[in-house]
Amino acid sequence: MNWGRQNERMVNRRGSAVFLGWMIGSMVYMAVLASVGALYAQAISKRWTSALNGVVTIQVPEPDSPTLLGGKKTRLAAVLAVLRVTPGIRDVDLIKQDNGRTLLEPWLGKDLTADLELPTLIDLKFLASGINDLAALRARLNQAAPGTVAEDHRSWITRVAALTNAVNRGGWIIVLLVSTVALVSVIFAVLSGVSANRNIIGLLHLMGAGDSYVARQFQGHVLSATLPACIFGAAFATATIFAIASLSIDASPVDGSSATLEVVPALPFDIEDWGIVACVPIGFTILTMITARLAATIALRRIS
Amino acid sequence: MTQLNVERPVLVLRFEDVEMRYTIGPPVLHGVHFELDPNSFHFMTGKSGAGKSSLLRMIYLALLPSRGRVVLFGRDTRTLSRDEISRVRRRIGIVFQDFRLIEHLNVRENVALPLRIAGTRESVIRRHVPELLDWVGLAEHLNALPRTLSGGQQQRVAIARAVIAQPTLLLADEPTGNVDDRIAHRLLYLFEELHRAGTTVIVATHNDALVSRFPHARLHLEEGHLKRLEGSRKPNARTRQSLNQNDTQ
Repeated sequence: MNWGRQNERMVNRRGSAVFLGWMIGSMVYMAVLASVGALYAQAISKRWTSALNGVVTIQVPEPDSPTLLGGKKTRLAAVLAVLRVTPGIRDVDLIKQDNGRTLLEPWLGKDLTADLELPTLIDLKFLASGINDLAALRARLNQAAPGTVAEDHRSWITRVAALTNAVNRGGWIIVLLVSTVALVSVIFAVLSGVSANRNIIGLLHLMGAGDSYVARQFQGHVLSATLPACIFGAAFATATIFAIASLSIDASPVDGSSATLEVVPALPFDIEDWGIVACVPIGFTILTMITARLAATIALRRIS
Repeated sequence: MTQLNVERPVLVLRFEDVEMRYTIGPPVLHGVHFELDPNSFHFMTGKSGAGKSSLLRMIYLALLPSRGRVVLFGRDTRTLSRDEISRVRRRIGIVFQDFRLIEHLNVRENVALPLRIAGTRESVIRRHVPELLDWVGLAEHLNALPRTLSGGQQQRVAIARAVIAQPTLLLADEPTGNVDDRIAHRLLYLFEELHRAGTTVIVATHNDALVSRFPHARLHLEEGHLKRLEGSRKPNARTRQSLNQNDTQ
């Protein structure tokens, strides 16, 4: 025998349930995307900061030419000699010129890149104590091989970090705004529901139903509308995220190369990040429940 | 001399010099004074506008007296909190004159409402509701919506809803107003069954012919005054037989 889900049907608001469902579903969709965007910006910022912090890139033009000091020593060898005696350096990573050409090929084309006389790049990684006196190192390098440039990444990392942090904060502000709009819509749905069901509520009161009982009916009504909406909203948002992520991965290989561009990594999320994303629809559901109950209780208090 | 200390059962209802008026104008009820013992059966009679509905509304706490005191189940109705009013109302079954069925709920769900409000277990609800609906002759209409039923059938749904939770006090406002004599007698017989099971019953009606066929006392309202008239007739064998025949139809 079909008894139905009576608690959800006591208040007759089928039309409002559809509207509320669409509204909450759309809000959850946007909130999940915004939260992923915020976390993505944070992850990129973290990755770049940790990857490039304490790194100095040295460019040695004409690396194979002899030094001005005479002898058979090349300019590159002179620079490396200076680096060997500089304290605080943890790692010296000589980047092969072929790698540099590979990086430039997508932009300049194979022919032009092959003719270019590229400087040799050296990545220096410093110990935790960091770079104490970059100016002195620059002076010594220029003395050994004039024209050598030592580029410190800190200034642009700071600017990029500020930008990604702003994106991160913006994402969470969007989540907050969307949540507020969703909760306001729940409040209005409940208030209009109480108003439209005034006769039924009066009857329930006469049959001995307390405000908490009637408020539970509205809460159940909102739950029946918002729970599927939250699930579908979150599912569609997740599908969208993975669709975008798959596009990003497809675009990463350069000219058939298996190398991927790590500058804009695809979903660099760990389990904690996914946990935060999952909290968005769950939080939506819980908040709408609490809001519906409070709004109904307050509205019912006004009915004598 | 030995003094017997016999504890009197708490009165179900006591009106103490009650006056009721709506904003301006003369009082609808005045000087109303009566009390109901537990497990009593009373008709409430009087012409339209005599104040029957107002008096019933005071009993089910939809109205408070303008003057005087209404004591329900031993509690002054003026002193009850909102939650206490809900608890008191759960002990009252009401048959409204206009039925007040919830249109979007089917018969079974309408009748189950008082049990759900009382927090009765679902298994009990699923057993008792069809039983009672079968007893009032609506076994074939469990899943019907109220609007698909006749006036008499809707009235029986309203009565089933009022009695399903076995209330201490049953109030019926013109419960026979929309049914023919046969159904009217059958409904009165149902109220008598409840009365025999321990429920205090007040049936408001202006059907004097019906009232005269039952032996119960009358609370008669006339121009806002209430008179208590004792019932004089016991139902004779023919009446009883007629009721039983009606019930089997």
